[in-house]
Amino acid sequence: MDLAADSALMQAAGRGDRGAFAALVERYQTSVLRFAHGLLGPAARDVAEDLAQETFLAAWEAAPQFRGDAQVSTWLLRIAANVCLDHCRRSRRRRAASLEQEAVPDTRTAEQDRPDGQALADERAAEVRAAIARLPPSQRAALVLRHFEGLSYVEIADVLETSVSAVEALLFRARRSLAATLAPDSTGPPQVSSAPDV
Amino acid sequence: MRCSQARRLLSASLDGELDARRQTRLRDHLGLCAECRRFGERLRACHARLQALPLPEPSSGFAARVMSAIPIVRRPGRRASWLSILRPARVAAALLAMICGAMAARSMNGTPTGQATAGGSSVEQPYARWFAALPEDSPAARYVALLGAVEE
Repeated sequence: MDLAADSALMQAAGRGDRGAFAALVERYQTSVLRFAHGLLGPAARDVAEDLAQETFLAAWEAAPQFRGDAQVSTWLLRIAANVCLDHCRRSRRRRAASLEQEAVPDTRTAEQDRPDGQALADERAAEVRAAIARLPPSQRAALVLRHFEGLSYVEIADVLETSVSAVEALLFRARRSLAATLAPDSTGPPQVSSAPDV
Repeated sequence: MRCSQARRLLSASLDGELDARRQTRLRDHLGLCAECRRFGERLRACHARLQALPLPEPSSGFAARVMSAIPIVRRPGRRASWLSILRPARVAAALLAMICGAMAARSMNGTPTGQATAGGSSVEQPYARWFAALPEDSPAARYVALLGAVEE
């Protein structure tokens, strides 16, 4: 990915070049949608697409202020984070209820028509997504940026407009919660030889 | 190192975000603490499940829908909006300053044009030159002219 070219495209978009902006939408649609989808949960694909679209509209409006001092990807994800976290704040109670109710039943219905292996994989994926959906939005955002987008701590801090230390803490708390749900402490006796290779 | 610190470092180690010093401290702690080693295994299991999640792709035509929703003419941004709010305010402030200046000149000299009569001769006041330099169509010049008309 050519960062300088992306920056030039965004600056052209800032001058009103719709073609340049269309190229950026094409390039970053997956990233923005993946982030929105990861943040909002499994039962909100339509909402995620709406918020991804809202992100790009906001980016178009803000493009004249883009000065190239941030990567386009980080800049777009920062807008997406603001749009999605704002949505989460506005609909926190309603969303929390709907995610927990909708995530698992959808998969259980689907598994009846699938081979056992696929059904099990879907069930496990739904379990992970439901566990992610129960995390606080800031932890979820950090986790999604790390696992779905592969961003470094510095990049996540840039997107979420916080410190690297705060990102480390957010990810630790998120993983601790997920471990309690997905990998309860029943994995057998500790093995000295399997200590993390760090 | 306390277990709470070690567990936070375990999380960062999964992401390759530990420097050599913290790696060493973590390894030393794990060598002594079975509970934290077990916690590390659980984190790894979670990490593997997260990595295995299928990632969503945009529906077909998403980019086209985005572009069709973008307005032909960009709305003024926040910065422009603030400028548009400030512009009339600046004009009003400038006018107010000019009015105050004109009133001060009038009270000091008895005439808004800065011309005072002393012994039959016209004495130039400090404001007269400034007023004369105003563009004819400027609000301040119009106000000064209005004050002169009212005075007459």
